[in-house]
Formats: sequence, structure tokens, C-alpha cells
Amino acid sequence: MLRYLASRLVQLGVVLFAITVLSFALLHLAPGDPAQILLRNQGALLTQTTVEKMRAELGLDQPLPVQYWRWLRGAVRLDFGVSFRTGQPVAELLLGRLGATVELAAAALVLALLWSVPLGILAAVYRDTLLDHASRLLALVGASMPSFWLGLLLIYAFAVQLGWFPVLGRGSLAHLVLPAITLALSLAPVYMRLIRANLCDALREDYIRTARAKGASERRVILRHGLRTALIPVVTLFGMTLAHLLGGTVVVETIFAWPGIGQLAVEAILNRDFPVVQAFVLLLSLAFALANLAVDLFYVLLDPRIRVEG
Amino acid sequence: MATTARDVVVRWAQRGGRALIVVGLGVLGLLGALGWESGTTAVGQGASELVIGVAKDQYRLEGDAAALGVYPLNANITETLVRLTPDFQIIPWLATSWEYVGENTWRFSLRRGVKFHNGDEMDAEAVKWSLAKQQRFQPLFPAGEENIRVVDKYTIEITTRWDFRRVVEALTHPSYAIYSPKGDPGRNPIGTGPFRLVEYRQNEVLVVERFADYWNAEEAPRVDRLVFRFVPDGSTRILALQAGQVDLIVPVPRENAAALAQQPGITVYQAPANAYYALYFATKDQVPPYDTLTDPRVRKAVNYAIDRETIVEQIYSGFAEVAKTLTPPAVLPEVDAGVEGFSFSPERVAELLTEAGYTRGADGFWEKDGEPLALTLVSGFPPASIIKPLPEVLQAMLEDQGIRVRLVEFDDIGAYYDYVDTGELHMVIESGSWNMPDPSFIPFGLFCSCNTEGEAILYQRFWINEAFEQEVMRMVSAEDRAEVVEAAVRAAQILVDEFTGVGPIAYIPNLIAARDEVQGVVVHPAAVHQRWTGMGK
Repeated sequence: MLRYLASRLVQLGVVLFAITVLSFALLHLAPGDPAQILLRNQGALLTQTTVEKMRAELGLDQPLPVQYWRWLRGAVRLDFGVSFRTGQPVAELLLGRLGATVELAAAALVLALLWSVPLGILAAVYRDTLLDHASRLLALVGASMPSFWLGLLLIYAFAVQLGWFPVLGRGSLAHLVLPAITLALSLAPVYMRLIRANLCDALREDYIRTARAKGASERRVILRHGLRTALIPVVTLFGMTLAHLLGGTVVVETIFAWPGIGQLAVEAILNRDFPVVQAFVLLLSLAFALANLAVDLFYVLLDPRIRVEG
Repeated sequence: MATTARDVVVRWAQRGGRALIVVGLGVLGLLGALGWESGTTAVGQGASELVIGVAKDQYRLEGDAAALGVYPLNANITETLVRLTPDFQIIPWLATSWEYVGENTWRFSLRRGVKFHNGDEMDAEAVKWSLAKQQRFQPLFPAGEENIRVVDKYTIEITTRWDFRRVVEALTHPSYAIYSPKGDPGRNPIGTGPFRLVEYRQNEVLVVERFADYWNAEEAPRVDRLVFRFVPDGSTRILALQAGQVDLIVPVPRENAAALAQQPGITVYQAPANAYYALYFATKDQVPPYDTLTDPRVRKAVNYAIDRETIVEQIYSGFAEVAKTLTPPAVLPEVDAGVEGFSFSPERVAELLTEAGYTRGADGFWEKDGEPLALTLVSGFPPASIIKPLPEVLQAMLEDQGIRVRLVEFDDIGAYYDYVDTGELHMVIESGSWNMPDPSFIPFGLFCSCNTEGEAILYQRFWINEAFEQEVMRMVSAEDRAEVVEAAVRAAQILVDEFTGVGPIAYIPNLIAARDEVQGVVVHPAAVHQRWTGMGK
């Protein structure tokens, strides 16, 4: 088990390194010179001198391998440089936003699971009944409604008309409610459908029949025998969703003026703020890689049929 | 070991369902309860505070560019030597007088007894420190920091490297705000303004409070605190205003302004326009098939094909004006009055295109030598998603007159400029705004080569001609205001009526929407100069 873990961690290091090289190369290949964008945003006149001076200031006058090496040397010491746009240390910028993003992601995931697990189980147990159809319709509506529209509708109903929640910003728990619900409503249908489908399959298995024949209660059959198998793919999806949400949710963040990492990333990409984009990509890759690893390890614990080789 | 852990997980999974439901109901209940509470407390907190919903946070916090609370969102923490009033006049402010003393040199006398927020007196050393910071970063007049000299405690001199006479106009720009050198313009700006910084949380909120020792009693703030909340999404800003979570919003999404003005309890205030939307025609170094607009008759035909009245009414619901030039009347009324401009005229389109050798095909579109008259219109500054649907409307209007238009749109400004640099276009639609009362500012930056210091400005695809450039240089170097105005009018005549290097569409005003309990709202045409002191509840 330990050897397996060690080899996975080495793999993770290699993958992350490859990603940083790739993202660095792609950033520099993409159209748009950060020096010119900065000057233009400031309304400055572009001359050979001002552009060259700005490129030198940003360190863009060095050959690419030198620039990458500088970045890498800083990154291993957790120094990701300073933002081209605001001049702030990138680590400070990302950490400043990470709290808000984690808060929103966690709240949305908990809400999504709260709705989807019970509904998924009920839909599977009462398959092809009115309840099943109704929950499927609900899932379809939830999955089809764009977040920006749903977010504005929720704001209009619950903040403007009823005045129950604030329209925007972060602060109290009340501020979290509408953005978390908006995000959760887009996540829940996927989970619900997955749980329903998996549980339906599981309940047709021989071991379920055996359990029933043994005289186990229906509740025990479903929750202990059926759900346990049905949850495995859900765990995978959960890991990926968590990593995905840590990358920020631009639309929801923008609608609710939620100061998360997604807005920061989009802004950085549009402004060719290379240090911020580079650090963001690294953070996101790390989140995905770790989530993957955690999911694989969790499998072993959840399902005795899966064995680790190594 | 593994078995134990697995058992734990399995047990967790079994009990998880019930536990999740219990925890979740608890969380929801708590959130709900807090929501009820917030509904009663989120709305305004007494008469001495204004909450202002503003667009995204764009402050720079480090280096010579740092301008927290100052630029682009001006919270009135700092002030400039001279001030630009809402009617675009320059008045003495931290400087009481100034004179041109010859040899490209200006002398400014500073106001005495003006206190910084830390209690220090403002003096020439502080002014020099502040102006030098901006000169190192992005000079708006050609003088290095070594050319800013302290004469005595209340006198300062500025010398430009060449005959550039628009120094006073440039000094109105908030980039030339005066700071105490003891502060830090990016973290702790110490100015002389009516408000002092209290709190800043990036992308969330900026809070300022009344400065008790403010030098100008006539301009003392009506409220104790201003709270600026960053709200990037325009629809959310409007909803926050309706819900009373903010007292006023700026900017107001233009396409929603008319509907918002109809809402009870909300007023939309409009300043005279200081910005414009216009087409710029690519005529310099263009190669086929992108050289169509090198023929001035085709450029004029495009201008006659646009129904500006309809655009102003239908897209902007009257919150814009028909434009004749790039200089709205509020900036310099003589320019707009001195230019003929273009009005919608299908007959003139037909005449001009026929004269240019085009014939109308069976499909109603113009063609020459078997090639259709097809133009590429690029949109990207401001980003296409913001300027929409103007490019599509222009495309439809031109196609109505038999001119085919291919639209290329960018939301990414870097990609936009890279595309424009390829030259694979006939025209762009851009916006510009006048944040300084210097009439040479936009013509100089956009349409000149202006190699004043032996160096040309890069990427001037929209260069006009020598005569235009001469007028612009006259605007820059003239001492007499009447001569500046005359040169500005002449330059605009060349730009619009004679050479026709642009297609002005609409003048765009700055808008503020406020709840009716907010009083004393005066909108500055240039948002970066907005004063908040007169507003209160």
C-alpha cells in the first residue's frame, strides 16, 4: 500500500511538471502581448521604447527557457512572482480568494448531496412510478437551466421581492445561501441520475436477491447492500466535482459578486497576466491530481473487490 | 489496519444518509434564520452612509502605478493641483495659480494650510514626490521626474522636453493626485481629499469616511461614510439597487437604463456625454482585399448608410446622442458645431458608390469587376459582449444598403489587438472617452504618427494625413486657447468631413442610478473625476 502510494506521488510530480511546461508554452504561444495590453489598458502611447521598457519590467525580454527556469525556481519555494496587472504577489492573490471559493464549493456540494442522495435512492426504489418521473423531470429542468439565469431569478425572488437574503457579496451565512443554491441546483441532477441508475442496476444483482432471501429488511438491503455499490462511481464524480469547483465558478461568482478564484482566473487570462494564470493552472492541476489520488484510495476502502497491486 | 479503516468507512456510508439529512436540515434552518435577519439589516444603516455599487475592482496596488481609491474608481481620497469641473472647466484646486514662465516651463503656486489625512501640511516636496511617481509610470506630458523642481515650500516648476503646452490640462487627471510621501498609494493612500480610507478588501469593498480637517468647507461631505461595493455583473447591480442593498450604482448598464428609469423609487441621472462609439477606417498600408476603404467615396458611403437616430433611440433608448465627431459638445462645443458630419441618406450611398465604379447586382448588393463590396468589421474594444448589439446593428444597416459586412468579434482584448495588427480588416468599432480637457489627447494617440521625440507611435493603422497631423501638433503646442480650439475644429473637419477616417456613431453619457432618498446627485461627465461630497440621504 505504501509502495503504491509512493509511486502515485512520483507520478503526480511528473504530471504536474509536464502541465507547467505545457501551460507555460501555451501561454506564450497565444496571441496577445502582456506588455502591450497593460500599456493600452493604462491609455499609454505605444512606442518601441515604452513597449520594450514594459517587457523588460515584466521579465518578458528573456528567452523562454530562462523565463521558465526563473518561474520554476520560484515556484518550488512557493514564490509565484507578482501579478502583471496589480503588482501583488500571486500567492497572496490566490490565497486571498481561495477561502471564498472553498466556502462556496463546500456549501454547494453539501446541498447538492443533500438533495440528490435521498432523491436518487427514492427514484431507484420507486422506479417508474410518479415519484421517479417527477424527480427525473426536476433533474432535467435543473440541469438545463443556465446558472446566470437561475441566479438572477433567485435574486429577484428571494432578495428583491421577499428581502430574505442579501443580493450579493460575502460575509454572513445569509450571503452564502443564494449562490450555494444556484450552484447546487446545477450539480444535484447529475448526482441524482447517477445514484438512481447505479442503484437500479445494483438492486437487480444476485447478492441483493440473496440478501432478501436471507430475510434482511428492505431498508437494510437498499442502504447496506445496494447503496454501497452504487456509491462507488459517485465517489469518483465527487472528487472531480470538488476539484472542478476549486477552480472557481465564474458565472456564479460574477452574478453574486462572490470574490472567488474563478473571476480572478478569467480576468488574468484576458489580461495575459502570465504569473497568475500559471499559478492558477498549477493549483487546479494539483487539486485534480490529489482528488484523483484520494478517490482511488477511497475505492480500496469502499470496495473489497478492488485490490492494489504494487 | 485496512480492514478496520474499511469498516469505519462502510459504517460511515451506512449512517451517512441519515446523518447528512439531519446536518443538512440544520444547516438550511440556520441559513434561513440568518437570511430573515439579514433581510432587515442589509438595507442602509442610517443617514450618514451611502452604499455605492460599482463595477469590478481594477485598482493597482504596487509600484508607481499604484492608485488605491484614486484611479480608476475615484473615492475622493486624493486631489489634484487643478480640477476638472462637471462643465469641463479647469479651476484652481491644490494649486491656487500657475503661469507659463517661458522655455517650456510652468510655475505653480500651491494652496497654503492644506492638511493631509495624517495631519502633515501639503507642500512642494509632496507634490514633487507625487508627480514624479506618475511620470516614471506613464507620463501624460513629456517631462522626466528630473524636470519637476521644488522652488520653495509652496512653489513648484515643471519643464517639458519639447514645446508641449497641455501640461495644465494633463494635471487634472486623477493619475496626478497629490499624496503624502509618508503613505503608500497602493496600501495606505494619504491624500488631502474630503474622504480618508478606512477599509479595503480586494474585489469586495472600499470604505472611506469624512476627513474632519478638510481644507474646503464649501465642499465638505454630506455623509460620514461611503461604502463602495464591487459588483461586476450589471444585472446584479440593478437588482441590488432595487432591493435597497446599495443606494446608487455606477456605471448603469446602458441597455437597462430606460427600464430602470421607469421603476418607482429610482432615478437615473445623466451627465453630458464625454465618450463616443465610432468606426475607424483602415487606410494605411492596406493590401487587397482589405484596401477597399482607401477610396474616400466608399468611406463616405459607409457613413451615409448608418441611421444614427435609430441606433440612439432603439439601442440606447435615448441614453446617448447622435455623434458628428469624436468630441462630444460637453468636451469642446466648437468642434461638434464646426463639423458637418453625416446623416442617413440611401441616395448619397448610391451616388457615391456609383461614382466609385460599383454597380448594384441582381441580389441588391454592390459589386465591382465581379467582386462584391464586402467589408470586414472588427469589434473588441470594448469587449464584444459589452458593445453588443451595436456591431450587429451596423452590419444590418450596411447590408440594407447593399454593402456586405463580415463581423469579427473578440471578447479578449489581447486577441483583438493582435488581429487588428494583421491588417485583415476594413474597419473597427471602438469607444473612447475624454478624461482630460486636452482636445489633442485622442487625435494624438489614435490617428497620428506624431514622432515628436524621434520615435513613432506603434500600430497606427488609422493614420489620417499630414494636414491632420499638423493641426494636432498645433493643438499640442499652441499657447492661446483660441488657437487650440481653432486647430481642434480644423482637425475634426479633416478627420470627419474631408478625409473621413472615422464614422462617428453616438456620444455616450456617464449614468448614475440612485434610490430616490439619495439627494444631491451630480454626475461628472468623466467618471474618473466623480465627486461624492454633495450626495446624501
